[in-house]
Formats: sequence, C-alpha cells, structure tokens
Amino acid sequence: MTTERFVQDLHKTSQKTAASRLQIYCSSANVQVYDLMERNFQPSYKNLVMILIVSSDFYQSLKFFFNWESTAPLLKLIYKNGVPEGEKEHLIVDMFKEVANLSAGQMKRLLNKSNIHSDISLPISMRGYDDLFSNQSNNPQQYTQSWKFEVGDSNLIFTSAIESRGDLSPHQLTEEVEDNDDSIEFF
Amino acid sequence: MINILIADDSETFRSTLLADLKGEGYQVDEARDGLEAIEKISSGKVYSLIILDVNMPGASGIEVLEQTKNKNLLDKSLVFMLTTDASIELKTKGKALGVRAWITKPYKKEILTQAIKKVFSL
Repeated sequence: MTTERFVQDLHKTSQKTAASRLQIYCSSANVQVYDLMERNFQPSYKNLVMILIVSSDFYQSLKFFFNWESTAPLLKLIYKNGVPEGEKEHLIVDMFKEVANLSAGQMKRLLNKSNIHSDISLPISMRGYDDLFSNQSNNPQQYTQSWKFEVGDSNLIFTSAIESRGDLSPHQLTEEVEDNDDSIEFF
Repeated sequence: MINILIADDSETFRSTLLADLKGEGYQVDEARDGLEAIEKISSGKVYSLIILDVNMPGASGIEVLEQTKNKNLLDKSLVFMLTTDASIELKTKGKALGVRAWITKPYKKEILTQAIKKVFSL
C-alpha cells in the first residue's frame, strides 16, 4: 500500500460515508454524487460545517459547503409533521452538523476496524464566503478532494482534506462497515 | 408511565427522537447538552430512562454519568447511550458506569423501541 493509495481510499470511503449518512438522515432522499476535478476548488457557498478526525498519522477534515436557503427543503424530509415556523438557517446548520457527526462517527468505526485509532471533534459551523472557507495550506503533505452532492433541487459541496503527520503507507482500510452491523449492544 | 430524558445537542435529531418516543406513548423531556442533562437529572425528577449522546458540548455523555452517578442520582434510572461513537474504550467506560444499552446512530426506531420494551419487560 502506498500513501497515495491509502489517501485515495480514505477520500473515497469518506465521500461514500457522507453521502449515505445524508441519505439516511434525510429519510432515504436520493443523493447524486459528482466528482469535482478542479484541484483548487473554491466553493461559493455561504455556510460551512466541518468536523475533524485525528489519528497519530494524519488529520482529516470533512467539510460540507452549502447555502442554507437552497438546502432548506431538506428539512421537510426530517420534520414529517411540519417544519417549525420561523427562521430556518439554524435548523439547516444543525442538520449538517449532525450529518457531519454521523459521517465522522462511521469513519472512526471503520478506521478502528482497520486498526487505526482516531478521535473526532464536535462539528463546527461558520458563515462567510470563499476566502474564509478556502483551504490555504501549502503543506505538500495535504491531499484534498471535493464532490458535489445533489438531493432533489438542493446541492452542496463535500470536501475531504487529509494532512499527513507520519508514514501512511503501512495503513490499509478494511472493507466498509455495514450499516447497523453493531447498532445495539446490551450490558 | 415511563418517562424519558433525552440529551443530544442536535435540535433536528432531538425532534426526530422526541416524535418517535412520544408516538410510542412515552413522556419525554429533552436536554440540549450535557450540562442541561446534569441539571435535569439533579432537579429531583426521577426518570425511568435516560438516553444520552456522547459527543456533546459542555459535558460529554460519559461526564454526565460520572457526575450524576457519584451523587446517587441514577439509582432509579436506566441509561442508554445513543451515539455515533462505538469505540470499545467508551463502551467499557459506559458499562462500568451502569449503561444498560449502547445504540449506534443512525438508529432505527424499531430497534430503539424494542430495546425499551425489553429493559422494562413490556
């Protein structure tokens, strides 16, 4: 296994995990995924939710870029008895924070099964524009990949950024953890 | 009547969980983070079941248990953890603190309600 191969596997698995968590959280909404080939992609979205995964050999950030107005229809998929009245931005941000939390938690389980110990942060949100969100790191050991997710008429950008802190080449990801394969345990 | 306290920092997640549990006829209170959970557990109201997230601001679900168990506030309550974090290390800590069931998010409503029926022999 090479560093590049491990990084690619981690990116791809993160993308699949984020899309599936979004799909589950929004009650089986169909999520279409498109690769974004531009290496220095500059997302033009007003909102960002981010969560960190930290292990001894790498940092990974999972970022969701979106405009809350255009993703607000997703709330109807969560609030089946009616979306609460009033301002919706905090609910959309809250929804993406939970999707980020679900995604990072699933990645932590997968990494653990691959004998890679990791910890995850709390999800954080920011509001601003491209220059605030863009990744300005010049670290040659940083690898970034982005995808566009479409859910109905809503769209967002998902980005996985991995920064190496050690030798990644010995690592190998196991097969993806099945959903709910360990969903409940009684003590 | 089974009364339940749910503690999770996600408003959208709490609303889904609240609707699922109320739909089953349970009485449900909610806490927005770990500190509010400690406050509600310490208020004197006895909950039949406390459902805690782990990854919360203020105090984690594990810290909620540590702080309330020391004061014997959990003697009449069962505790479920409902969280994305399913590491063996955390489960071991939870088990030592008296957690009865560890449920990994995203949960399925039927799994959660069956678990409640099982621990209360319904």
